[in-house]
Amino acid sequence: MNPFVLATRSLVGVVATAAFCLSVSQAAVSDIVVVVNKDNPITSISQKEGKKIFLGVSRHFQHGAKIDLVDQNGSSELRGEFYSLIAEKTVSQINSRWAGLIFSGEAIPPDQVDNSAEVIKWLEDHPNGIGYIDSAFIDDRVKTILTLR
Amino acid sequence: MHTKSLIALACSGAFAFASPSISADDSVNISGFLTTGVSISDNEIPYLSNRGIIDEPNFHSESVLGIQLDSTIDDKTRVSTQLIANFSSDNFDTNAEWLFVERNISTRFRVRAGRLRLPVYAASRYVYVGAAYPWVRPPEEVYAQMAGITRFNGLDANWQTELGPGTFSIQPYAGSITGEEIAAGPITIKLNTESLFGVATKYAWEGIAVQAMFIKIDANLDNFPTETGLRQVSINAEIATLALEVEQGNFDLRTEWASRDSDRLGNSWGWYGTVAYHHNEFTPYLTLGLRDSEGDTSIARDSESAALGLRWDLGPKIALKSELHYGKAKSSSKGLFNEYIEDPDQPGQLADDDVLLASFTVNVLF
Repeated sequence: MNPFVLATRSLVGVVATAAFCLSVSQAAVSDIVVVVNKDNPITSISQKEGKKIFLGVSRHFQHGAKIDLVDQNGSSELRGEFYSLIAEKTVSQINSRWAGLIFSGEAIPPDQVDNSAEVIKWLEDHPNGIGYIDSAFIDDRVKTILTLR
Repeated sequence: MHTKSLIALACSGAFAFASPSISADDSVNISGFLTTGVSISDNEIPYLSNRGIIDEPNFHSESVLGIQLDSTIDDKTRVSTQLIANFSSDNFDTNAEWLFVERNISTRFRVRAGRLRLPVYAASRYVYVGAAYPWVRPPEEVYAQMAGITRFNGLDANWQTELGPGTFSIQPYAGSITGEEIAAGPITIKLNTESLFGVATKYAWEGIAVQAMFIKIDANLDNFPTETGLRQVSINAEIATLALEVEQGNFDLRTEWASRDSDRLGNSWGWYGTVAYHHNEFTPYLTLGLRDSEGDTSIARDSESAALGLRWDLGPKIALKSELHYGKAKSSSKGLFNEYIEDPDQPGQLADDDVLLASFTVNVLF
């Protein structure tokens, strides 16, 4: 085979493989979504409203129901990404803030679960619950009200 | 309220479960915090009220254990208690720091009754919770103006509303304090109020919070030192506080100014400013503090201080802190020292009026 054709085929092969790998890796990076119980009347919230809810400032949904928060475990990687996206805060800033809210008697600590699948299970039992999950886990048991990233 | 057995029971239950916070069922939650560490200064005169840090390692001055129980009675009603074991005194006193029932009248208005925390300063509501702030301890130039009084029995209300770009809240309160003990060097003074009321307000928007607070107290103090010896005296005191907290990106700025007007305790003001920078799990910070007063220097606490510290969040429930603090008494007063020890060669001057203080603490949430 002509060496030029061989080199061109090889180059095309390398570029195609790289493009495939890149597309696969992009597909593997999913969004983080804020979800509620599927029967919650709320349909969407802004990032600003989400920030207020997860920083403990807003305690009620727009329709008046008291918000039940569920957080992911402190060691979860998703937790760090979520608070960075929704509140532009580090995990240590979030931990400090919630320590202040809980131990000042201002708020009850949010329930904590291990992962996105556990958040969905928890929301099934909490009609006024709100949490965040990896979008790859979305199913018809929850309603997505905000997509981040 | 001494509740040693209750706190022991709560502790044993908490550690048995060994989880960050425990829900006995859906309506009861148990959580807690512990701070412990060591402090040492280069001055033999005890330094900082209630802590009395000297030039020997002190392992109990920064130590405090808190156990909190929250119980949801129904959708609008909650009961909460926080039990505090404060190891800064030798007798390991344990107290119910608060014990209240809360009723949410609407989504914006709530009332509480029982034993409550006095909201006099920006960090009053979580003053014992080391994990909630950058410092090893809240700056004493401001936080010592209430002489360690942090709670009262009575009522408060809280109303919150959206206002412009932010959220405004107002919290009026009234009640009494009975038999609260104040450590004043070697003397223990007992405080009983005749009237106590105040208001705390806050406006917060986009990472900025401004707080303004006011409290007025009329009280009797037993065992108060006077020129004619220890006796009961009546006092009144008004404290006004203004605080600003700014969180922008990785930087935090906290500054607070508190002014106290009192017939017997004198008029004084205190200020501090803290800048902290968050870099991953590390938060270095710098704090400057000042306190000044009018009139009689025998009861004044005029001082200045600077502290450089580092908070290291080892995990979501544990933080280490180290701090180097320099303090100096001013205007021939005893400053933030607990005792006035006069220099025999220079009457009217403290024997040693400055101090370098090193502290290291572990702060745990559970």
